[in-house]
Amino acid sequence: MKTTFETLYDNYHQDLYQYVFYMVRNQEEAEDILQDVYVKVLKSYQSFRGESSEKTWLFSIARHTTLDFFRKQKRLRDRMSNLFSNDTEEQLIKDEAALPEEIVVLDDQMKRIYKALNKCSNDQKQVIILRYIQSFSIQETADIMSCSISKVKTNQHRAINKLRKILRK
Amino acid sequence: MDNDQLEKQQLEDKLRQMPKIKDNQSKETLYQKIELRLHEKQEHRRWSWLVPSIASFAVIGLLFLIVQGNMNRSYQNANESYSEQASTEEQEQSNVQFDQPEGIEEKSSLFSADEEQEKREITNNNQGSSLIYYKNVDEEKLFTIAAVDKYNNYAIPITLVDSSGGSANDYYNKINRFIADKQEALGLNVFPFDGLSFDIDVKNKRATLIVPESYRFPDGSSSAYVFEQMATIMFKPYGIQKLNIQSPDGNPVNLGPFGEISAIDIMLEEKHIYKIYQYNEKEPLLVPIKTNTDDTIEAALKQLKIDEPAFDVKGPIPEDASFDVVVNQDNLSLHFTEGPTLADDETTIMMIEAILMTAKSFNFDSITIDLPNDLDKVGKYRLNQTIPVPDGVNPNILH
Repeated sequence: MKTTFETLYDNYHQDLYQYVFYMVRNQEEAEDILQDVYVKVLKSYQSFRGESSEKTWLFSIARHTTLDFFRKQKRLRDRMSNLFSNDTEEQLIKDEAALPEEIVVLDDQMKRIYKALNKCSNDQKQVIILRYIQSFSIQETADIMSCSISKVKTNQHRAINKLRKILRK
Repeated sequence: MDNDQLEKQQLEDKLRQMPKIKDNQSKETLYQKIELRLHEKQEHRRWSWLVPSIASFAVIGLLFLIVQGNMNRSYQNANESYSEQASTEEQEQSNVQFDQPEGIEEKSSLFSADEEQEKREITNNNQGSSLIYYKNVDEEKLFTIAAVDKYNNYAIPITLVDSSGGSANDYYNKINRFIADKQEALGLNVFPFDGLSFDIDVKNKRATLIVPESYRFPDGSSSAYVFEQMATIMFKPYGIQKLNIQSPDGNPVNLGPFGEISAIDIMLEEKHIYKIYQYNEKEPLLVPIKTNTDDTIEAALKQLKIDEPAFDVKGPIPEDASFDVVVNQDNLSLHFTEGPTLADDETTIMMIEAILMTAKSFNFDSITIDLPNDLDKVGKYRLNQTIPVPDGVNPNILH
C-alpha cells in the first residue's frame, strides 16, 4: 500500500493539493481533505478499472471529497449560526488568516482575481481552476466533473464574464 | 482584436499565471496520518457489529416485557378504545376535507371574505411568473413534491396545482414525471424514486414508503440528509409525523446510509428561511434552508442577506438594505429604512416572495412591507397593506 501511495504522491500530489487548496482556500482544510482523498483512493485502488486516466480518476475523487466537505461545513455553520452574528464576517476573517505565502506576495491585480474567484459558483470555480490553473483540456475537465463538454464550455464562459464584471467594479 | 476580447485575453493570461501552491508537509508525515486513519477505520469495522447486536438483544428483551405486560390490559380495554377511536375518526372526518393539506385549510379560515377575495386578486394577476401560489378556488388541490439542487445539497419544493380531482397517491407516485420535463430549465436533479411507492392516507395522517428488495438507496450522508428534507417538505403540510418505511411484506428496510429502519421522522417543528436558487442563470426557484429551531424571526430575516455562491444560492434581501421588524400577533411587519436597490422590479418581487414563505414557516399568517421610497406597490404586492402568506411555492400548474 505504501508503494502505491508513494507513486501517486510523486506523480500527482502537488497538483491535487493545488486544486483542493484553490477550492477551499485554507491550507489546513486542504491537508485534511487530501488525507480523505488518499484514504478513499487507497481503499479502492484495486477496483480502478482504467476507464479514465489515473489522473482524471484521482481528481474526480478529490472533487467529490471537496464538495462533501463544503456540505458538511455548511451544515455545521447552520448549526452554529446562533453563535455568530454574521457569517460573511466570519468567512472573511478565515480567508485572510489562511492566506499562504504564495498569495500574500501577489500584486494587487492578482489578489483581486484570487478574491473574485470566490464569488463564482462551485461549478464555475472548478472549471477555472482545472482549465487555467491546472491546464486540463476541456475533455479532461468534463471527465473530472462528470459532465458534458458543452457544460464545461458554458461554465467557463460564464465564469470569465462574471470575473470580468467583478474586476471592473 | 477589440477591447472586449483584449480584456478577456488578459484575464485568461492572469489566471494561467496564478501561483502554484505547494503542500509543505513531508510525504512521510502524510503517509503516517493516512495509515493511522486506514487502521482506525478497519478497527472500527472489526468491532462495529457488536453495537447493533447488543442493541438488538436489548430491544428483543424489552419487547418481550412490554408485550407480556400489555396482553392482559389490551383485552380489558378493547371495547373502550374501539369506541374512542370511532368517535375520533368521525370528528376528523368532519374537520378535514379529503386530500386537502391541513395547513392550507386552517389558514384559509383565518381570513375574512374580503381578505380571501383580495388574496385571490393578488394571484389572478400574473400568476405565471410568481415563485409562490395562492389558491384561486377552494376546490383546487395543492400537492407539494420535491426535487434536489444540482449540488445534492438542498431539497427544493414544487407545488403541483390541480383542479381535476386527483388524489395524493396519484401525484406522490409519479414525482419525477412532473419534474422531468422542467428539470433542465430549472437546473434540478431528481431523487431516484423509481421503484419506490408511496401509500398516503391523508385523512389519518399516515404515509408509508414501500421499498422493494432490489432498490439501492444512493450512497453518502448528503443523500440521506436531502431525503429527510424532501420527506419533510412533502408530508409536513398534512401534519404527518413520520414516514413509515417498509418492504413489500411489511418488514424494516436497509436503506443505505440510514441502515435498517422502519420510519423517519417528519420535522414538524423545523423552521426554514427561503433564499433564491438559480443554477447557471436558469429559472429561479425558492429554496428552503433549515434554521435553528430557537432562531427568532429577526435572526432568520438577517440570514436572508447572505449569498451562498458555492451553491448558486442568493440571499433575497440586498446586503445594503436595513429594516426594522415588528411582530403583531400573526402579522409580521418589515419597515425598510434603507435599500437603494429596492424598486418595482423582479428582484424586489422575489425578495417579497421569499419573505412571505419565510414568514409562513415561522407560522405567521400575513406580512406588511414598506420600502424607503414612494412606491405603493411592487409587482402585484401592495405595500403598507397586509399580504397573506401563500398556499404553495415554486408552482407547477397542471390543470
